[in-house]
Amino acid sequence: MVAAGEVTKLLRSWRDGDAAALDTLTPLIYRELHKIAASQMRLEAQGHTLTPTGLLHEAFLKLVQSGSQPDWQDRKHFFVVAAGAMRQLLVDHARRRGAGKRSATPAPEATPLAQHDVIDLDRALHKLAAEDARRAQMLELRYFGGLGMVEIAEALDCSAATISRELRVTEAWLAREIRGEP
Amino acid sequence: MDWDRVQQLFDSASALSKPEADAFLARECAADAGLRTTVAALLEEAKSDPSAFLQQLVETSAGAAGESPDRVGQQFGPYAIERIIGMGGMGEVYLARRTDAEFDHLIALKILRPGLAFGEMLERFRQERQILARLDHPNVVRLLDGGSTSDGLPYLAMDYVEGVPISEYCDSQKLDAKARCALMRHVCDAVAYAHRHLIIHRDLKPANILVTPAGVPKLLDFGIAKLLGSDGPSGGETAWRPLTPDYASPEQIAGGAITTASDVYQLGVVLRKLLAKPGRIAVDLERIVSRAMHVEPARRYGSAQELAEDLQRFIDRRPVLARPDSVFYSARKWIERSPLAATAVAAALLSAAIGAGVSYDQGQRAKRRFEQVRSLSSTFIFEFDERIRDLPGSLTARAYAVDTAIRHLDSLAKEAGGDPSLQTELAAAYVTASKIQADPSMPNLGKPALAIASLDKAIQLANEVLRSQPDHLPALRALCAGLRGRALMVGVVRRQRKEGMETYRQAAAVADRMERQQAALTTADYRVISEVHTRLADFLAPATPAEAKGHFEKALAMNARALETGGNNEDRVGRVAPLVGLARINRDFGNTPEVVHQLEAATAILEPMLAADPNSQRTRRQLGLVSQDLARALGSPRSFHINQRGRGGRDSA
Repeated sequence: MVAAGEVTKLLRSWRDGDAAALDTLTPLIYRELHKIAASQMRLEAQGHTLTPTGLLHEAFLKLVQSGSQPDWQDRKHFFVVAAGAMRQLLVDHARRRGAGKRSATPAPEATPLAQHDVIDLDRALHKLAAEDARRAQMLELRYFGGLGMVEIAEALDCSAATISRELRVTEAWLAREIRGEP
Repeated sequence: MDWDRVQQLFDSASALSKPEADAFLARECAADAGLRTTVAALLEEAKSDPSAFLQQLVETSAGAAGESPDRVGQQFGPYAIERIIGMGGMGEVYLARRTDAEFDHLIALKILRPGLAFGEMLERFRQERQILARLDHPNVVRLLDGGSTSDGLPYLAMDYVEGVPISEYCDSQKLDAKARCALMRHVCDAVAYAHRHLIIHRDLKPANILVTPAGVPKLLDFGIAKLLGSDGPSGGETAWRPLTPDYASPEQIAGGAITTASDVYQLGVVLRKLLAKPGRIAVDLERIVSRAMHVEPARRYGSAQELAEDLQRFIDRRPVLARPDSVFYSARKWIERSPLAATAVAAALLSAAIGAGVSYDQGQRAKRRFEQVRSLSSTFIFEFDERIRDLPGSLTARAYAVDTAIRHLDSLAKEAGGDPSLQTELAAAYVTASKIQADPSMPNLGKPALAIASLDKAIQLANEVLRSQPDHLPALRALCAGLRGRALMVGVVRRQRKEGMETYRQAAAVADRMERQQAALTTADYRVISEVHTRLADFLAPATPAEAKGHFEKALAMNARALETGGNNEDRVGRVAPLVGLARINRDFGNTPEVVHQLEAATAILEPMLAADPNSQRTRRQLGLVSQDLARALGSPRSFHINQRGRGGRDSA
């Protein structure tokens, strides 16, 4: 178990320019997310739904809130790092599950949604990042970090109006990209 | 895709009605139909709430995230997973046991995180694995194997190292600055070794440098950053490493070319981090760090080896080369600005370097001079020359520098009688000067006559020492180098075969005397001895093949010693000439199996070298010659394509 205040301390070192802190932080959050996900899986049968946002908030409570007096910056930085860890967690799991399945031909009765998964989303985000890294991070924060527009704007240091405009066009692009439409 | 432009068009058009928007786009994108289609499609898509689609997609996947990633007990190829030992940005690392072989040992298995296009990555990995696997150095963790797991993720198998990151090790052992430098020196050596094999690390940081309980540093993940297609923290995978690329060099951040200089930069960052702890950092160390981390790659240390050497100088309390603005740098800049002033620069530099000690009192003088000559021979002349040799108009400066150096060497030589160490150092300095004057293997001044004069002085000085101390190894080295240089000038540059052969014969005799002092010989010694025998045998072969055969064999034996004692690629190539020489002699004696064996051995050396460096004209040419010989030996009328294996040729013959 991580010592109380440890994550806050790492977040602050990272904010102060210590890159190594990120190397410690990311797997730490990754593990915590995974642990929470595993324990919530058992509850899912009882109608409890697992959402990335729920996972992240639970991780935040456990790793940051409980140990110290976090300021708004700690919160912001936690979600920036955790969104990356969350994305990775989901992609890793999708790959593990799907490695065999994906090579088979998709069942004809599959719904359009089931034909695409987080791996496609991840791939599209990589492509986007190569063209415009900031837009990719914006979407990562939204979908994997569960942040609202105001929070994203804060994390990326721009106005909420900009985020709102950019989200509309970028999301449209992303949806088309995932479905493989030119 | 130009996102700014797309955004601008989308924003304007989305405020309009559909027909208005169509007209607007037709007008704005008259010259770019693709852009028009794209924006129209995005406008259409935006109406169908893509956000909900994406949200749902992520949430569906989250439902599965509770599944265990447990791989313990799984088997991949010959490896059985025992337990997880790490998890990080690049993937998961497991301790695994190799179970198929007679030897049963532990390895580390890194299962790479599936990234962008990992199929392509696997392909690249297969190509590069050979090169990486060839890295064999006590301070480099060996890459053993690679493949893919049952669920399609690529894995790498490497030596398992029980150790902690270098920064942690230094702190837990409470090492002082000097001990930290000594560790980093080994790290630099390992990086320099990899650079000689054309491999750049790209991601040097404390987490990639483990130190074993015995205090041996081990470098992890050489070349892996490249395999992953990401040039360190600033690479394409921004999602995993969002910000703060602390260890990335400025050119990595800027997306510029990644070279060995980037590794030198990262070594500087690691060094700075290690030295931040033990308290106040010495001025010299600060200089070393700043030089390694200079913003301009060209102003960093020229190689990891130079950084290693400067660290050693610090450890030995000798003056370091790193200076705020080195004399060489200023000289270079000056010469670049005005080639015509070059002569003046050379004069000024040399009097600064050599003239300073003239007024020393008698007691100090010999010692002081000795130091000057040492630096003159081992660093100054050569380094100065190296740094200006490719500048336009530097010829006059180079010639002047060497002339001036030789005048100083001459005056010192007059006073050196009875001082064997000084005489030996002087001899070595003359040899160095002769190389600049006419060594055909480097950009030279084209003055073989002057080179021969310098070499004769070297030979004379060394002989003087050896008259009183016949086993003086440094003098034997200098004599051997002098004779070898002279033989090259006379026999190869001037094509006076007979005299060249005689001089090589003398050099080989000196080499034999060196060889008797086996315990003290270095890799470089064996390299020289081997080369001298090869050259002599080349001269002997046409007239006296039996005698030549003995020398070729001797050359191979000495080359094997060089390789045993830590030889490098240069030594591996060094085997080719004697092997080919022997094969030709065997061919003339009708000894075909031997011929084939020797030529195949030569092919086996050259092929991987060509694969590692396909642009090397020298390797390509050598391989072509060897293949021709092999084809002839096998009785095939046509010559081989150079990338066709000799073995295959035999089957078809």
